Amino acid sequence: MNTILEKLKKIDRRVIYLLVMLSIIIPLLPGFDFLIFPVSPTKETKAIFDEIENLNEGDAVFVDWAFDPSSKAELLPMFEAFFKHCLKKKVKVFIYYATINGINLGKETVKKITAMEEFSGSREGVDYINMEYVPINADIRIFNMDVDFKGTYKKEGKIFEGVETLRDLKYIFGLSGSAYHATFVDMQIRFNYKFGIAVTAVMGPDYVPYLQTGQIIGMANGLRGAAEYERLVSDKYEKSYYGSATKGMSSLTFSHLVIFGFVIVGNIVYYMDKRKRG
Amino acid sequence: MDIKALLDNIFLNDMFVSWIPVLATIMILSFLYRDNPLYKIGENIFIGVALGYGWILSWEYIVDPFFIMPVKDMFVEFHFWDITYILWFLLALTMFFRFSRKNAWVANYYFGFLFGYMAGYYIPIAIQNILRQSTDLMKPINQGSFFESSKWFVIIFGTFAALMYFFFSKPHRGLLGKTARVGIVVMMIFFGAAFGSTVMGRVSLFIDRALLLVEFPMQSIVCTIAVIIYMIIYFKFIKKEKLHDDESFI
Amino acid sequence: MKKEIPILLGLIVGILWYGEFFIAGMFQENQKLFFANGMKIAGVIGIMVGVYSVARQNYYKIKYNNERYYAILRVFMIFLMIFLGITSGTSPGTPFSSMFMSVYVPFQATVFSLLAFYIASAAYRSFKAKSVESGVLLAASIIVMLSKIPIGQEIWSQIPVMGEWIMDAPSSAGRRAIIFGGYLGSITMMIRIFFGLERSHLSE
Repeated sequence: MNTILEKLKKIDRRVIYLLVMLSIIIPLLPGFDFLIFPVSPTKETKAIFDEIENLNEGDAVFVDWAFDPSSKAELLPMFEAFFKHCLKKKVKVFIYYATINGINLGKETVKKITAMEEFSGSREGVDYINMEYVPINADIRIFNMDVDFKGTYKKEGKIFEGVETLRDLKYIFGLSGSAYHATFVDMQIRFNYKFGIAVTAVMGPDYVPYLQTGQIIGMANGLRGAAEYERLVSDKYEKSYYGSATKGMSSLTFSHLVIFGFVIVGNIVYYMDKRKRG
Repeated sequence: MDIKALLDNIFLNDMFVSWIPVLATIMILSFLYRDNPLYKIGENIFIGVALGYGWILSWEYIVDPFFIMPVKDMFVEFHFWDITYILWFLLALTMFFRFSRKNAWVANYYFGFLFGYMAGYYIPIAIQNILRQSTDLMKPINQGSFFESSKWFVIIFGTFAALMYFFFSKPHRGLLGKTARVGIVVMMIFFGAAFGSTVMGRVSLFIDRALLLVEFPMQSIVCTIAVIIYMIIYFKFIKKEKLHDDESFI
Repeated sequence: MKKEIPILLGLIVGILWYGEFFIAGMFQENQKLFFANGMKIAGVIGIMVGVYSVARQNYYKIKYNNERYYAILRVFMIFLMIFLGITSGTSPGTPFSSMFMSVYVPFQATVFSLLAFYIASAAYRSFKAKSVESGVLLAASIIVMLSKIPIGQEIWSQIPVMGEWIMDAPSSAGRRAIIFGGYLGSITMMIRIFFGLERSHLSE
């Protein structure tokens, strides 16, 4: 008994790593599809979906892309689902990249989605536009709300018809893995725009109070939020829009179970050790 | 064959697009076993590519449109407003003095300006937010269902208790001490929820990588075997030292 | 003189922006975007500073044989990216973009994905119910984790509801206290900067 305890106490970290790795990779292998459980949407994700559903054709949505490949895992699936939904609803999408490291990732993703047969009708500059990067901070952009929209971003296109200033945007949707969107949240009281976010799961609990005050309308929390959104869009349009987020849900389940196992074993070892030492 | 077609052939090739990401992923993952030259090579390739990428895009999106073009326009036709460009340029140039030990104070002009600007716009915004959050707490506890009402009850008293924990002007004894203790529990639940979410976030980071590895199974298997063989050779024959204690702890 | 004039400058700008709150749009007339342009130019200079410091650092590394081969590799990759960017442009579907998607993205994403393993290891080694407080932390995080995974509601249909309650009520209360503290702290800090009491951002 004691030897097992000692062994568990000094377990090699690589054993833990290996178990986690296997618990994530195995459910993704072909033949393990039966492990995918449906996710039920939370009210936060539903709020984003409803916000887009309530828009009319031709309304403008601003996407503030503020993440780089390091948080791609959690936010890219959400962007894909959101963008598909917007194209489906035929709302205009302005995609602004708040960081240089996101531009090519974003453009490649947009290109990939618009190359799909279903969305091949949407054209850049008419239905969506890559606003690229302008080196001004979020605060300055918000302070320039009432200024010529085109002028701030130096862009042209048919898409700008009817969108004179930032105030004409019906919904601002930010994707970020950092506290970047705190500026948008702080200034929402003064400028009174509708603002929704997709955040990495780490940041999720930080934004809950703002959801309750109404400064944020809708929040997609990490990979799970993206899976929920994929489900909402798929259910609504009765076609499969499931992507990588839904695929990843089975891995998420199993890795969590393994981590629970670690926590439980760790606590048992701790208490047995404590009792032994008195 | 011209150089452009050659580059396209190399970098847009299916081989490049499928093998290199998998190899890169496995090179970095080899760090989990132990720090090794493969990881270091990968790290340095990443830094180089990141810097080159950043500079090229900075040129395209920042320097060219917002510096070169306005200066060119300035020479064609000078407007009164262009003076602000020059002023800004001089102000920002002072940043360079941060490198000098003797004249670092010149950069103070830029930083003084920047922080003054931030302070000016942020004070009213922060006050607005405090008031907004306070207003939100002043709502009737009865929110319809028991579920919602219990939430509000906990939010109102929990926030109060947690704020009391940060109240250091009086020793934490008696009623204040008890309230502060409830405050600690509330904060601990917040940190617990944050940790729970963090686990999900971190795990999803690897799920993304695993999806890539599963997408290219052949490449993954070959690269994994190659990396493992390299690691065995390296740690058996080239670097035979044992793990340090601090290295094995993580 | 080395600090007083910058502080005075900051005070003037601060008062101007404080006033902007009450006279909305006073800097935006004429679409001249005074501050926006300023930030752009400051960005240009920031890049120049960055290029200079990278060049200096790598030069010394190569010159004094301080991990020389890694530094050479790094510099080579920088030049390769610059070369690709100049020859083919940066739009999607070019060699430059392909390098980004197949080298930069996997490397960065994988470096961050190592955290998945570290948090599992941390959960095993240090996530223990040593006291009442840490027991509460443990219980809250377990419930939240269970509510996040799809199997949670298969086990018991009330688990997502419990997770939602924890996120919305006690966790939100804790966060609100931190928010209050954060805003009050930043207001104090900003007022100190405003009046020149806080000088840590200025050098001697």
